[in-house]
Amino acid sequence: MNVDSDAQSSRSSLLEVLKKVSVTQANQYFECENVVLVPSPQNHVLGQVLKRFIVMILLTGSDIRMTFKVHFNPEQVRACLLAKGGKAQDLTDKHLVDFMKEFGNCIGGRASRVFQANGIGLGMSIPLCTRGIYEIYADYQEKTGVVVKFGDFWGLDGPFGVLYFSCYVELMAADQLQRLEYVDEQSDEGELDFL
Amino acid sequence: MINSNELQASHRILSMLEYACEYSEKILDNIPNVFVVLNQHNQVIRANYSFCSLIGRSMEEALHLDFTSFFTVENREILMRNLAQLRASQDSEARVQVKLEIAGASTDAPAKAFHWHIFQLEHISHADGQVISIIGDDLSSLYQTELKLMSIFSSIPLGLMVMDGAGVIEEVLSEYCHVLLNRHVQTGDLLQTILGDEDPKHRSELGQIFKALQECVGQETALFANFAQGIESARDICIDRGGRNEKWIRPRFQPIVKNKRIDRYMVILEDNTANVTAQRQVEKADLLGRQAQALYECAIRDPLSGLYTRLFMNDSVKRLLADFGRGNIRELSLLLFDIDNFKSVNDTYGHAAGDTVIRSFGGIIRRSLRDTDIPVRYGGEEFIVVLPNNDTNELGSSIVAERIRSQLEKMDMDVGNGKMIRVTASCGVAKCHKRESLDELIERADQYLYHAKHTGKNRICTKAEGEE
Repeated sequence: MNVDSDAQSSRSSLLEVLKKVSVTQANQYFECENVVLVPSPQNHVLGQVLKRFIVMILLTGSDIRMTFKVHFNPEQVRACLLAKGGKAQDLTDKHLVDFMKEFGNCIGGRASRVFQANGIGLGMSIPLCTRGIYEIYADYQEKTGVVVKFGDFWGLDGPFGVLYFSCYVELMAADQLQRLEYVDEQSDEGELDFL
Repeated sequence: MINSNELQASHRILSMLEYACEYSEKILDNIPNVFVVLNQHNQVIRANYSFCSLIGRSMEEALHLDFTSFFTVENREILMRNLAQLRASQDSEARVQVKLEIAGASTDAPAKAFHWHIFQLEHISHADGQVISIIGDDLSSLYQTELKLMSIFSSIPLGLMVMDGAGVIEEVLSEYCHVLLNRHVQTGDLLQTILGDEDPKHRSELGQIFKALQECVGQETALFANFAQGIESARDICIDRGGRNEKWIRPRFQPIVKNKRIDRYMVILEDNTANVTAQRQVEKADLLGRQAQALYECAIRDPLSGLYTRLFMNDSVKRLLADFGRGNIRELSLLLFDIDNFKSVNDTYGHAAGDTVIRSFGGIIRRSLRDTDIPVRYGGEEFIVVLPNNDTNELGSSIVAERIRSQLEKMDMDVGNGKMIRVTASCGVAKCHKRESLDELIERADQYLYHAKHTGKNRICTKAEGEE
């Protein structure tokens, strides 16, 4: 296989894992089972400002560096939590931002565990939240070569409305992720391991 | 390898930066100015509370709305043209400042005027195209204040206008200008021409004033102070002289300073008609007063001798008698003079000579008395002098009478044709008794005079014949 096809294969695997991680974690975090992937908005270009806030988390390993973002509006999260019985006084913008930072943290953690299960160790930053406008300073430029860089974008529809996710990945060893597989942690839950 | 301490430190720094960033964003959220960031399609990608309040939407709802849709058609075109120019500019520091009204939340609400500061925002991602940042200063309260001021200007009874350095009216601030000048004053009119047409008599004076005003433009305000006195003393301008709407207007010029130099003038036209009318009334009253005074003088002053008449004596001497009765005057004397042989002077030298004698004797009496004494031409050749006296010298009145008599005796009088004559006078001096009337006092003085006449004339008598 040539380098480009290796990179393409790694990219597909990685993005599939990330999307699955986001769906699984969203279902778990928002305590629902109906979260689904949705297509990008019409005429969407990666890097556009879509929501008022962004939660960012950085995952780094020896062969991979990945910035992962959750784009959200506090109002949509507030509406979702109120619908689930949350109290309005507990749902200030700061609480909602913290709630979504924790969501980002959980996604990062789950992604790390998936990578770990595939033999790739990743370190994870603390989740940071900033305003959506700062997306204009993001760099999603694609690159091929020794270091492969690419970004992607997807949406999740659920009880929270539509949340958008984006990532920017830098692969230092493009062929390392070809066989990356998503391991659903939940499928293991409740099973006994008989030796 | 990064150890856990370094990781912790990095996380701490990141957290601090996150807080700092959020604080800055909150400041932007809460500033009273409207703040928005637009993408290439003029959609809002960042807005603050002021903007959301203005358009009546939440921050979520404001996101991706077309910013230009909140402007009226004309203003929208201007805004879009400015935005397009800015985006086309190669200068990343380029800015546009424009005043435009934004319609706001509802079509019913009045549009609000804003001063917009528009500039490019540097960015890395090209996904949103050329990003523009806009800050809007709400001018509506300023406009409200301006409207209030304009309404005050319009209603105050002063003509207010702004005039440029060349004397051209730039702005008519009060409706009263039209009323005062009896014409519709327009921007672009020359004030000097308007005033000069109304009052041709003052045309040259106005020319000097406007020349001085023009010379002051561009100069420091101190120079205006030198001219100000001359300008301030400008006479009132008469509008519709002699007509039904005659008015008197006082123009005043207040320099408007820019960068410490005179740039333009605020012209204040004050209706001075009431003052001029009042002044005229005062002058009229003054003239009447002077005429009345002259008439009175004629009535009380004998034109030949220059002494008072009996009309004046009746009033003034009665007042003195009253003062004497109350003890305010220690002594009151009445001298009654009669020129000796006056008939023969008239008969011999003519009435003109008689007049000369009367005039000369009047002069002697006037020169011999104090201001408080009252000299009166009592009859043809009879004279009365009333002397109020607070001195202790009981002979004072006789001394005065003697002085007058002796001066007359020594005076040469030219009765025409180089003929010089001398005349004499006799005098009765009567000191007023308590509760004595003027007539009684004169009667007594007349008795003393009679005695003087019968004892040889040219003398003073202080008692009647047979009195001790």
